[in-house]
Amino acid sequence: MTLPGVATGRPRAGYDVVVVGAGVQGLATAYELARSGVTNVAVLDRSWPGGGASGRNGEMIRSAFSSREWAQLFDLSLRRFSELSAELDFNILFSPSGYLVLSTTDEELRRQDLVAAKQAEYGVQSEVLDAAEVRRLVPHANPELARGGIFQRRAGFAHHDAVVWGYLRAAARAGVSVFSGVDVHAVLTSGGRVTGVRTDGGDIAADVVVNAAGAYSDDLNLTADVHLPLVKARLEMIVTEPVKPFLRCAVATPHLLGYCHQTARGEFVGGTELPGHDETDSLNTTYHMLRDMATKWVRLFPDLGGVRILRNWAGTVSQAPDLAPVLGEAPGVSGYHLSIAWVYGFMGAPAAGRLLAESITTGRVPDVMAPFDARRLIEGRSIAESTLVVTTDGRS
Amino acid sequence: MAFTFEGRTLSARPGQSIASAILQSGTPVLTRSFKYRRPRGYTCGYDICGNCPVTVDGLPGVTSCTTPVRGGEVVRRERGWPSADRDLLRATDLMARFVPAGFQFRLFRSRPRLAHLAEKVMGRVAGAGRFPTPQAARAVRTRTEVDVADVLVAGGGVSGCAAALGAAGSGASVTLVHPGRLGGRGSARDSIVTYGRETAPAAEVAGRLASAVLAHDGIRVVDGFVMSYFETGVIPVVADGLVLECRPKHLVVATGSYDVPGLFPGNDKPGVVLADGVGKLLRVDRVVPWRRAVVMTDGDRGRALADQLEQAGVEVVAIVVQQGAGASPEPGAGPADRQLDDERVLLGTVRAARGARVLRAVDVEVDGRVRTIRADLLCVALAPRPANDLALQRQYVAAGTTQAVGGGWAGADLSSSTPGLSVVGSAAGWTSDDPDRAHAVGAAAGSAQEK
Amino acid sequence: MAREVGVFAQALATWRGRRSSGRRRDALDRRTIVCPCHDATLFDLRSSWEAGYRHPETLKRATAVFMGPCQGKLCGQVTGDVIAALQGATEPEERRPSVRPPLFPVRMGDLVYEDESKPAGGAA
Ligand SMILES: Cc1cc2nc3c(=O)[nH]c(=O)nc-3n(C[C@H](O)[C@H](O)[C@H](O)COP(=O)(O)OP(=O)(O)OC[C@H]3O[C@@H](n4cnc5c(N)ncnc54)[C@H](O)[C@@H]3O)c2cc1C
Ligand code: FES
Repeated sequence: MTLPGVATGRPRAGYDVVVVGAGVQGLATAYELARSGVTNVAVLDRSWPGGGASGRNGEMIRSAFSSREWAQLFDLSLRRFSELSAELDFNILFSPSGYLVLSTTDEELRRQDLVAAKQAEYGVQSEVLDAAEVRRLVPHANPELARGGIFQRRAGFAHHDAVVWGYLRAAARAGVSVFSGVDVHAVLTSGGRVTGVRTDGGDIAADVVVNAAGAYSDDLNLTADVHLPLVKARLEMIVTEPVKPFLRCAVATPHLLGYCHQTARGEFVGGTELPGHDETDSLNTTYHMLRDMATKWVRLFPDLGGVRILRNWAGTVSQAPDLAPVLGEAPGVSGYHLSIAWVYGFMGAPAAGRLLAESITTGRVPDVMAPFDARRLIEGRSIAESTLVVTTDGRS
Repeated sequence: MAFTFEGRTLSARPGQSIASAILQSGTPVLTRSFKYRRPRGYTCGYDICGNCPVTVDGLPGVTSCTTPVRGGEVVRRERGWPSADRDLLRATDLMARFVPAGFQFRLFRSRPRLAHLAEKVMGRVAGAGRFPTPQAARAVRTRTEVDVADVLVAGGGVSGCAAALGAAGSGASVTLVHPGRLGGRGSARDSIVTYGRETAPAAEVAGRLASAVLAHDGIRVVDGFVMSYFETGVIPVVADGLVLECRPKHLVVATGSYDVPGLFPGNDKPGVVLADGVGKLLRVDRVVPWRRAVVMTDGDRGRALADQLEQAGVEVVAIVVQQGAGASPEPGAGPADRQLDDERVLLGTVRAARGARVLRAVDVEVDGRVRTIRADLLCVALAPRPANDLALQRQYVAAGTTQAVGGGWAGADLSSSTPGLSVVGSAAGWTSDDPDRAHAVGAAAGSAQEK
Repeated sequence: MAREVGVFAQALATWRGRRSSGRRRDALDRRTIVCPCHDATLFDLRSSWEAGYRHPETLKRATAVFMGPCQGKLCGQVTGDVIAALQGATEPEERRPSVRPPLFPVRMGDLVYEDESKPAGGAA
């Protein structure tokens, strides 16, 4: 056992559903399956639940995106986050302190009204802030970089471990068996149908297999002969010593490619990225990213120059060319479902778990989920989302 | 030299640490703890424990036990309202029962508003007003420079200095990184050490090695610390106003050891001090803020500390040799048996450190009976553990990711398996100073580097 | 080896043997600090373990050991010993949580690229 809710003993020879990966995606899906009555479910993870990106991310949550597809999916998630503590009977420390996407360049300033108008059209409430309003909201930010922004009041952040633990306990209570220390080597198929998985402890039969293997989801796909243009990418973050509360809301800066917030304990937590992606599955951190983060965060919050960094860590994800997730049944293998290519997979999990479970149990794909089908990647279509703090490296 | 401490003017000798000067002035509480606001004092002496951060000239989180007094600075303590001496939020400790680890996940799970409010209160308590002033924050800036030395030695104690001299002697260019004065923990030790043809107390040998290093043209000495071992082989060193990017062909880890704390109720009280911290205060800072000491040990180290304390005029009332610790299967060979001729020695177990705010007494159990011994110092002199962090990071990079390296708890010898890495001295688990051996390791590393 | 591994494992076992039960032990364990950086107590470690956080990495996340300013320099060995004692072993079965950079806290300003006009990256 590695966490409360993890099963003792080994998995049985067969289940109705096998979920590969006990990250937030796999656990949310298993929990929602159990809630809709499918309880003969096993979640298999080679590590401890949350040991992947789900326990290493920036914890940020919003639904104020610029595209209809993203906004609608993530708005369902955001609504779920506010009811999750009560539902899971576990305080996930969701903090609806607001989420600010900063505008820095003239172009960003020009576009912010347009983006907010689109968000209103999708049913997502947001506010356009001018320089003075941004200054009131984040008084420590450098005014040259914080010239405006789009603020979503209901959004914010939650404790990533708590979300994983909450889903894990609730899923286990509902009858799901979650195993850690089980390595899945392959997805087994026969005649275009999934039949189970091969693990280091033998084969397990299942009519439905869910791939929620995070960074390793593409490796798993290949064993089922599913070919999607995904890459592994490493992302890094820093955390400082606790300081007085100086940053109320979550902040993303597309200009600096960064995202950050201050935790309840007072630590400043932030990550940045460089154009392109760092294609590796190593969990070592890099010196140049540490300097990049320090440089950018001190530019944005000059007072942080005097605050000590305690820790720097890395996590890995899988990415599609358009950075949108892949959600739904895999092309060509019936019964094999994907919840992969998540770059914003922490905030997306409550919605994705529910939608995927619904499509598995009913056989119908919910409208909000449909655009994220894997076929878009094979057919070369992409979902255009312009407010991300990750770049697509011109590949889309 | 003088500086201002919370409105008072305190004086210090050049080189003396801020913490030692505060202690000398009769102030044992240096900060308040993070969650329960428990009083905390000087503990480790080497920037290990996190119990002594102060705010200096508007910059929070300055480690007072390793930062020397410069003169003229304004120092104040952090966390504590109205002050670190009397903290009203100390009341949270009385509620400790109700706020164990994880309590927040059970709190207000169906009351989102209250949950959010509770979180804000926690943030205020934890962060507690620490924040740099804008001027102080903007003053923190460094240059970046590239270092081209063949061999990088991390740590300038007895072993690090000897290894650096060995490497430089064989013709390699060497950079030696050490925070503060060279000599390390050896500077506070009286044990007899052999180096070459000489035999002398460790402190003397440390001094001689340090002078030799400083006089050597082939060794660059940097006052700073090694930040990490990163992918691509870069080892940044952070010094005052300078970041040095080192890419040595060979890394010698001579980072010494960490003291291991005792595990008993009250083990965090001001007055409970780890052995290296005691030694440093007595011998390097030359401050004696105690009168009556109890020494807790699991081996021979306790007696050495007790002797140093007595030389400094501190009455050592007991040396408690922990039972069940360091036990030897052979009767007569264990450290306890060797020390039975010393009347200060008690074979027992420390059960508790007592005192409302600072240490007043130590409960010791001997033969099933608990005795309360009055003391203002409990010196914890357990066998230290190797400071193996840097060597572990070297291995993570060699292995490609952090998760592929097993163990790592007590620091098995990490150097044999990794090319370009040597570990010497207590970092390698050597139980006594052996500068000759460290010198030889350094020489081998140095001569392996082709010119 | 500098120290006999599991010294505390033994001490802990003796202690348990003598006053092994109930409220008094809990009270004592609450006053026994394993991780001074985050005020994690022996009680926190033991009760989190009993609740099911039975892996160094998950126990770390449940109690915040290894996560303070010292990053486990002080609590690392004791935590390992407590885990070993709870596992009935001399050393934990699993690897220790990763040693993450930086080895000592470093001020963010110290790592700023001096040429600020040249952003380290981003969409400038
Ligand atoms: C530094 C960083 C910052 C981020 N910031 C944010 C943010 O602010 N907001 C946000 O929404 N998202 C953020 N993300 C992204 C988010 O963390 C991920 O998208 C999300 O956690 C993905 O969850 P998952 O369950 O799909 O994957 P993971 O959490 O990675 O879980 C996958 C699991 O599968 C297991 N596994 C893999 N292969 C196998 C196999 N063959 N057999 C058995 N088990 C296997 C792994 O052990 C792992 O536990 C960030 C990510 C990183 C790395
Ligand atoms: S004592 Fe645990 S992190 Fe410092």
